[in-house]
Formats: sequence, structure tokens, C-alpha cells
Amino acid sequence: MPVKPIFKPSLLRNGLGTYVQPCHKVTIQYCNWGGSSKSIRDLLSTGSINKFASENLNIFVEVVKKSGHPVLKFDYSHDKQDSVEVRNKTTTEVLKLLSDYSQRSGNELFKYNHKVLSNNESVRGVWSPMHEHKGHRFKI
Amino acid sequence: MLSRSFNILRGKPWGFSLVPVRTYQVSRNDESLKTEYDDITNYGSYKNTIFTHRLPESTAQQSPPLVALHFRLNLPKTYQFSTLSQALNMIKYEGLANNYGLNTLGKTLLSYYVSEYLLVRYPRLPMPIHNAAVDSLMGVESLYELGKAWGIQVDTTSKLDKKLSLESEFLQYGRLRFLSDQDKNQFTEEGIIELNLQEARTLNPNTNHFISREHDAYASAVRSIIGGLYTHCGETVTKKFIDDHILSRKLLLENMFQFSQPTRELARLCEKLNFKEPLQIRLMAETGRLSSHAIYVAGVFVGTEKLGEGVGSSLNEAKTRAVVNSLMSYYLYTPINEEGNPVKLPSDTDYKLEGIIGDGDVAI
Amino acid sequence: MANASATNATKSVNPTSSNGITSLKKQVDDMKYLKYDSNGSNSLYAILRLHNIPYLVTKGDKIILPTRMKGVKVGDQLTFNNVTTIGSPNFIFNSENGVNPDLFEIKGSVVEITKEPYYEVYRKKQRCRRLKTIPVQNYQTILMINELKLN
Repeated sequence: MPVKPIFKPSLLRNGLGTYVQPCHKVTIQYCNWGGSSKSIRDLLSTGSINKFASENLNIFVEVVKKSGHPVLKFDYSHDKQDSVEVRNKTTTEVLKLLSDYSQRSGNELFKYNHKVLSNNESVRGVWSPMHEHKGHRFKI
Repeated sequence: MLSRSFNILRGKPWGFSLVPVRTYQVSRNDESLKTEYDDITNYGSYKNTIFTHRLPESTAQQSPPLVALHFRLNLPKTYQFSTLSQALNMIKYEGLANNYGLNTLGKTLLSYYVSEYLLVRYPRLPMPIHNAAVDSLMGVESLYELGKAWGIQVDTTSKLDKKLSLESEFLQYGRLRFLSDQDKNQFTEEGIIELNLQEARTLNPNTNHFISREHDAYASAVRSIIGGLYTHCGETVTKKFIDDHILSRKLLLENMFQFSQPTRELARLCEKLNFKEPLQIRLMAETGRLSSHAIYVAGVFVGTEKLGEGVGSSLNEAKTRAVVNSLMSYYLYTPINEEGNPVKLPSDTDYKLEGIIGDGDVAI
Repeated sequence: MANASATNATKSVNPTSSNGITSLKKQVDDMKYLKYDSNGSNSLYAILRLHNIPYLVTKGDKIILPTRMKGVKVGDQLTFNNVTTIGSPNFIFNSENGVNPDLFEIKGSVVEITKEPYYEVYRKKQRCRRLKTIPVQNYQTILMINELKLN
């Protein structure tokens, strides 16, 4: 056999062909009695959570009643999870957190100190002094 | 399911030696299908009497994870929720229709579109690399990753747990069902993997790699969703879906070649292509031959045509790199049409052969 | 469908309007070299401007903006039409005023709107014992280039 294969898995590029939102489930946990859950109770009674769910049909929204401070839990693809405690937060703050966290990918936050993140090889390749015209080459 | 299990730590079962026996293939009925017949030779009368039914559409619509998955994948409205739920069911015995047929259909469609894409885009790809590329695009591991990215989750709670925790029965219809109640309750120890027979069959003893049931189930769910898309929405939609989700992946073809004798292979290739002039490898530029960090640039030429070039820190390295580069530029050639666009695939409308057909591999 | 040109600080100037039709014809002819050389738009890069900042991209790249892009949400498609350079392995087409948007198609989608890791900035004034602590956690918008081809 002249050539042997080396198996390399292909890379998933979400957003290239089509985009599948990584956040697939939101769990809203609140307490029916505690004062820190007041805003969540307001959101539930005014129907804002319903509105969020109907605007984001691709997210499964679950409401859990449990004693303790209220928590928003987010499930992302590849089994990643994130949660944020929302005790004593106002309704607008909670809604903002809901929309912010549901637009994330669940990866750890990181600052990439370059403008573009690429998997591709450079189109023009690396500059080589050996390929300059003979007259322009650097002479020692 | 298979209750016998096979432990990789143990290896061969004790008190049992393999003696070669002359055997012949006997086809057996799958007893779980409860096949009945009037006469054993009357194949027309064979009938599976196992009771299965499809999930009612009204029930499927009430499963939140299922509806969310439908919207996340942006599936057309004609795609029924019950089919999507069926695509996630691998269990044969519990009365609900499983994904066996959808899986087969999806697999066939996938292999058609993937191999069509590779054969037309890379007509000169050697056979082993082509197979590896197909596996890289639509192998179990890639499809498992895709299933995970789609947010499909496994149904891990047993019937008893569901009853006790008052879990809504609709939730399970949107989850991947492949574990029996016995598997769900099985105690697992961290760091020890017990393989069942099916997994043990896929075990590669050199790399200790095997395809786990979970990976296989995810892959089967992805294939079945594609199969379901074809049944409900037809070919063009399915083709677009495969294009978007599978063929949009980045294929690392350049890293998949392992040459044993590249120079000889290139010489054979030139012979096969009937080049008039001899193959020559020439030194094009060099610097610092007497220093510790010399750089040489070698080029592969046929007459005045340059096939490829390579840079190396020794003459031999530069030569080998040049040869490998020219081989790669031959194998990874992509045809374009007269307007400079990628050529059409046979499944496109108004297809006519614009590209080339590969000449086959060379033998050394 | 949001249009990225709305956020561009400089408006792309159409070379046809300034130099007449011959210039456009020349641009189209020049693009032919790029098109054949890039092997059917396979190996092609472009330098596009967003908020007047240049980004060199190929297909499949992620642009990481250190801000929250206004008026977009995750999954939106953007069309980039302020492009100064398009290049293939052997040719570059460069136009200071911007390449005519009819000649190429560059699209991106908003893949993620997230934040940078949290950090604190300390400010100390002279002759004042107080150390002012400013919490910083900026937004980040990640775009993926999903279409880069010559027409």
C-alpha cells in the first residue's frame, strides 16, 4: 500500500453551515415564600417568563419550586453548565441575565488577545527570503 | 438485551479454550420480534407479531425538550414531532416504534452525499484516504459530537425513579432512549469500564479505543433525524441539511497522509501520467551550508514545470518535503469549471460532468 | 437580517461612481485572476472593515469583537460590504476606497455574545488613602465568517 491514512477527526464549525444555539435548557429555581425570590414570582405572575419562552422556542424552560435563594441554571451543548444566583435581583436584572446567559456557548470566559481566531492555514503562506528575486536578496 | 458482559481487564474468559471447529452460517430469527409463520419454508407467511405503535402526534407535541430540539435544528413544519421522538428511541421492546428503519435510511443518505462530495471535490484522493475522510465526516465519533452539539440528552432515570420524582411522562419522549431499566440502575465504579459484547467487538487492542453504546446511540439518533427529514420533507431539504451540518465540518485532509516511500511513489505516478521528460529534484536555493542552521529549498521538476517544492534543514529533508508536497498537490487537486466556480455535484440540478474522474491509485 | 454596514464608521465608496464604468470592468477582469487562483474561492482571504477596524479573515474564522454589537442577537446573519482587500495565494486585489460589493459575497453569523473574564482596575490618587476599585467585565461578540466567495 503506497499511502497509509492517519485518522484525523473533522472539526465542528457551528455557525458555518447553519447555527445551532448551544444553550438548550434554562432552569429557573425559586422559592414561593422567601423575599429574595420576589422578582421571580413577579415575573411568573406577569407572564414575562412565558414571553421569554415563546420568544426562544429553541430553549426548554423549566421552572422549579424549591426553598432557598433563586438560581438560574443554564445547560449548554457538550454537557456544559452554568448557573447564576439571582437573590434580591430586580425583574429587569433577572431578564437581562436570562437573555445574556442564553446567548453564551457555555465555554469558560476567556479573553483572546487577537482579533481573529482561525483554524485555517494562512492563504499566502509564510514569507521566505529564499524566494525573493536574486537581485533583492539580503547579502551577508 | 445482552446480559453477558465481557471485561477488558480480564481478557479471555477462564476455563474455556478456543478450538477451531468447522462451522457454517445459520441464519436465526430475532426472537424478540416474535415472528410467526404458517410453514417454515413459506417465507410469504412470515409475520412479526411484536406490538409496536407510533407515539401520537398530540403526545409528542407536549414534550418540551422535543419541541425545543425541533426548533433548534430549524426543522420544517412538515417534520412531525412523533418522528423526531421515534428517531431518539432505540429501545425495541417497550411498544414504541424505534429508529431502526430511520437509522438505515439516514445512514444511506449520509454515505451517498458524503462520498459524492469527496469523489467530485477530490477525485484523485487515494482509496485509503478517501475511506478515512468518509469516516472523519460521518463516523460514529463525529456524529456523536454533532448529537451533543444539538443538545440531545440521554434518558437516564428508570421507570421507578420517574414515578417517585413525579417526573412528567412527556419529558422522556424528547430524550435519547437506549438504556434499559436494568442498565440505568446498574452501579458503576469510577475508572473501571465494563464493556458489553457489542462494545467489546469494536475494541481496538492497540489503542484501547472502542465505540461505546452511548456514542453509538447518539450517532444513530443523528442519522435517524436525517432519515426522518427525508421521509417528511424530501431530498432537497435533506441535502441542504447534510451540507449544513456534516459537509460544513473542517476536514483535515492534509494531515491524513502517511507516505512510506514518497520518492518512489512520485516516480511511479509520473510514469503512469506518461510525462515525456524525466523527474528531477533540484536544489533551488540554500543558505548557511557551513553553519549549524542551514536551510535548503528543493524543487521537483518535470522539464520546466515545477510540481512542488520544500524547505528543510538538510538536503534530504528538503528533498523529501518537496516530493511529499508535489504528491499532495496531485492528490488534493480540486477541479473547477470554466467560470472558476467549484464543479457541480451529480445531485445538483443541471448536472453535467465538468470535473475529472480519478485514475486510481499507483502501486509501488 | 441585520446589515453590518450600518455599524461601519466609514461608508464604503463605490469605485464605479468615481471612476466610471471602465474601472468596474477592470475590477471584474482583475477578479478573474483571483477566482481561478483561489481554486473556486477555496483559498481566499479578505480584509474587511468593521467599525473602521480591519480584520483579515478566511472562511470559517471567528472575529472576536471586544464589545457588544448593537442591534444583533445570536444567530443573526451579517453581510459585510466594506472590504479593502481580497487575496488569493498569488494575487491581491486592493482598493483604498473599498472593493465593489457586487464582486464578492462575505457573510458572517453572530455565534456568541458573551463576556470577558472579570478583573478589577485600581485607581490611586496622590495624598488620598483611598484605593478606588473599578470592576471590569466587558462584553464580547463572536462572529463566524460563513461565506467568502467571488461572484
